Amino acid sequence: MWVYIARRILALIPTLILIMLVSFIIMQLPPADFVDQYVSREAARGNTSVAGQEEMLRQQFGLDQSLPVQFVSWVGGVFTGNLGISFTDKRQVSEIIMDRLPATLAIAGMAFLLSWGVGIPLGVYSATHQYRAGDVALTGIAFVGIGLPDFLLALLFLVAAFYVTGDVLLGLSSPEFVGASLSWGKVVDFMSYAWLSVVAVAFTGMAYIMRVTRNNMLEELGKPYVMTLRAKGLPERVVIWRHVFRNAINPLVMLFGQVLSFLINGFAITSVVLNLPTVQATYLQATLLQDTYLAGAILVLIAMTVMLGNLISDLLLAWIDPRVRYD
Amino acid sequence: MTLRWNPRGALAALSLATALLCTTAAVAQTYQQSPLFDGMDLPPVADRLPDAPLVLEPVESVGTYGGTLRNVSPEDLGWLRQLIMVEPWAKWERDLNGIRPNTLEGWTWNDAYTEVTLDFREGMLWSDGAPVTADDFMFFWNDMVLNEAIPVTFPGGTVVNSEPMTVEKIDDFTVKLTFSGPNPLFMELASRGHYNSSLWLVPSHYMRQFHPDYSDVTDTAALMAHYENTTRLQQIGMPTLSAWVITDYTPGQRIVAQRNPYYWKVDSAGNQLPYIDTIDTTLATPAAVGQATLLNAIGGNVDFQPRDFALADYSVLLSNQEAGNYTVKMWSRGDFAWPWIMIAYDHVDQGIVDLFYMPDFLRALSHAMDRNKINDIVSFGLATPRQFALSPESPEFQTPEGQALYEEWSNSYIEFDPALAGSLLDGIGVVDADGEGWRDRPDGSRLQLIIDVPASSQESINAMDLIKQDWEAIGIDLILNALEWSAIDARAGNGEMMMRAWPSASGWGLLSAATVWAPIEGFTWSMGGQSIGRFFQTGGVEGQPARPGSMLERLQEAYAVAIGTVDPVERDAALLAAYRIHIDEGPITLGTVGEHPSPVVVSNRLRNVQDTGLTGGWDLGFPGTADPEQFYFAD
Repeated sequence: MWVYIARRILALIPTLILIMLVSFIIMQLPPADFVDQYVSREAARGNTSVAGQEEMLRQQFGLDQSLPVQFVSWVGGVFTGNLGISFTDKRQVSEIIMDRLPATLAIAGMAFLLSWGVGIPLGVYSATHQYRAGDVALTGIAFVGIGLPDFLLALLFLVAAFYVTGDVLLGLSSPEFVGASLSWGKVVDFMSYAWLSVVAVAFTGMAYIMRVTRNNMLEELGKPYVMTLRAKGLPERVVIWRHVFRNAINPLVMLFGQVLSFLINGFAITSVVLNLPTVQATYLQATLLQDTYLAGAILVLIAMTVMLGNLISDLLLAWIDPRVRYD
Repeated sequence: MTLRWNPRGALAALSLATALLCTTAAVAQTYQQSPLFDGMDLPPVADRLPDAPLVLEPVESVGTYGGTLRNVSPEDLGWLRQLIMVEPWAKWERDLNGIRPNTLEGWTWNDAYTEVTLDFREGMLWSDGAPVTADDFMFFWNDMVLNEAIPVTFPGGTVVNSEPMTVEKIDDFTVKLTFSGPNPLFMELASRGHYNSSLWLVPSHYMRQFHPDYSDVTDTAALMAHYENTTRLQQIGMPTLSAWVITDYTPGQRIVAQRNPYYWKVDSAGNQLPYIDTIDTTLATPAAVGQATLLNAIGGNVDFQPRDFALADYSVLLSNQEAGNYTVKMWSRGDFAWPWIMIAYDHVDQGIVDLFYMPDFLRALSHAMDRNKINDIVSFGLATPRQFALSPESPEFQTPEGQALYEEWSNSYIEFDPALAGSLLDGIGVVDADGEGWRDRPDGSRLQLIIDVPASSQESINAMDLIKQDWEAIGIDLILNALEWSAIDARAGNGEMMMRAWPSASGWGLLSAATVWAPIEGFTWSMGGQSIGRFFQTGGVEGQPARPGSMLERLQEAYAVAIGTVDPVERDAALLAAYRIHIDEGPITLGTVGEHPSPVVVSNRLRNVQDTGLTGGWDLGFPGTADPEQFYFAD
């Protein structure tokens, strides 16, 4: 087992380099680069003094070197811990990501706990009371949740909250708490903003988890061993939760692998639209502005979390299901 | 005892009298400071101000100290810089009728406009108390601009006839600049926005620690971060000459600025400015900023918001004025048109270019556009149908002849007359020769116009959809090519682009992007064709020439005349003569609807905010030109 884990972790490295190569190529595809866009943006508002300085700016950013050299130095930098600087505000990429990570993990973590914590029990309930009033209602809610995008829901909540309370719930804190040190007041303020995005994102997630759980449970409930367990006189609660649920959980465990990457790359559009100070919002801006080192570093982070997540879910599956074995 | 004439006594009496007189004069010249400073360990206000502080007449009334100005900005801080960082050597007048001394006390030109002597304010201090002297500018010029190792190029206006100016320090507060040719517009060029002379005065005592020649740093990254206009504001701890100093910055979330104790302006009653203590700005991503400004405005959470409202939200803003306790002042974007259609005379297909050089072709296209419909549908009736023409506030239009010419220019060829358009096209041979429903070229081959539109500008795309319908109604086959901005720039660069719809933009005569009315530079916003502009800019080395004798060539010649004319009256006349080419032989660039209003949300508690302003671009310095340092809260 340990050999297996070690082999998987070692395989991460060439995969990562391949991902970096592909993303680097994609980022170089647009005809303009960061400097062209920067000059365009400034000139469009009147600052024509930067036009004609493109060569100097490219030298500053290292964009004048040949592409293979840029790629090799970037990969080397990532593996030695130097993630580069952001072209837009000249700050260290690692500093930018670390600034944004706590809020991202907090929102995503709460959304995950809420959607799985509510989705699984509701899914089990739905399956055990199939086609009854409760199931029909939950199915309806699930379809709305899966069909409606989470950012649309978030925008609806935003406008509704504004008209009811007059608060503009964009971002994650009131101005006076931005940059303030952690305190009880700050936590309460944070929750008063965070509920908006957490509920919107969790609603979609919960709907999906509920449907998956329901389908798996129904599949298991149709199997002969369930009848046997009931015939043996076991209480329904034990039949459902100790036996059927344990067998139905495999697909959920496989889904669990994606949770790690969801934590830093989920609900990107909602982040941007609600002005949340998250890693996803930074990633989108960086990609649009062709801020290569920042976008590249976040991409590497996402790739790592996807691969590690897959590894974790494979291991969890092996642990839960004795039939699954790796050699 | 006889009274003798005692010279020493007389001298003593005279000096005593003079001293008394001076003391009373000094006592009369008292200044007041904000109560915030009263407990703090600072030198007296009279010592913190320069010997001759700049006196600002308030717009409405002398104000009271205190208050926090709240606003919202996109996270790139663009317009916030226009609120805080606009401190050039000379600032635009509030009504744009010339420039007034700002950080400089004054300047003197010689008759030929080849030398200008700049007088700095004696006693002016940086926000950390260090003195501002000519050495700061000499450091900028010698150690940053002229130093090959530092990536700072010659600023706009400092290079004449391909030669940079020479800078000579006369004394601690006087500097003389010498140009190799007449440069009469130098001060006006330096006054534009927050990125010309606002940047040239650097705190040399502070910057030395980042300069490779004066410290141990090995690269110029930190120095450039402290110099460049896009990163300077965020450098906390850097001394500045602005009314407010940034004290807190959380990227993407919030930026706070506090009053500058060493600010060098007073009001007419001797109160040290600014009146307002703090500027508290909430930051938002570009996608969220429209929501942020709108909701915060109607919720009463902003005190002064001059930009970043979507056109579609204007009516919501106006209807919520009472609920949000604010007033909307309608400033103007001063834009030529949104969109304006640039014609590329350097397109590879010469047959199309032949058509462009025929005035009747573009006149027909102009007459075929139903501008009132575009105005109603795309701009909610808020704009004005107009031809491509510069802004009416431009200096050359301030005379009666100028106004008349402006009226003529902005109204030329804009009547919606499809019949006239059709007959103009018939007259030049653009008829439907093969009977398939579209007009063809005079030689019978297929005519298809392609116009590039930036995919990110929804208003431009909507307007072009309507224009496409109008042109198809007179038989012109038009393809809308919605592309990403950089892709359009690439096409413009290699002659593949035929026409381009550019969103809202504004410009003035010779001061701001002159290349929008004459092909004199090779930028993406140059009219007439990028390579034609580059031909003129490089003196014939790169690019392609305009057709000899064509109106483009004559525009280039007219520009050369205007830019070299030293006398302002003659210069304005030369500009008007150049614009006449647009009227008589144009339209050379097509306009649609322009002069969009720009709503400014002003809290009902805020005073001294003027009613007019131009926020189309940064060059004219708004909102800085409206002197935010004299805004105050009447509570």
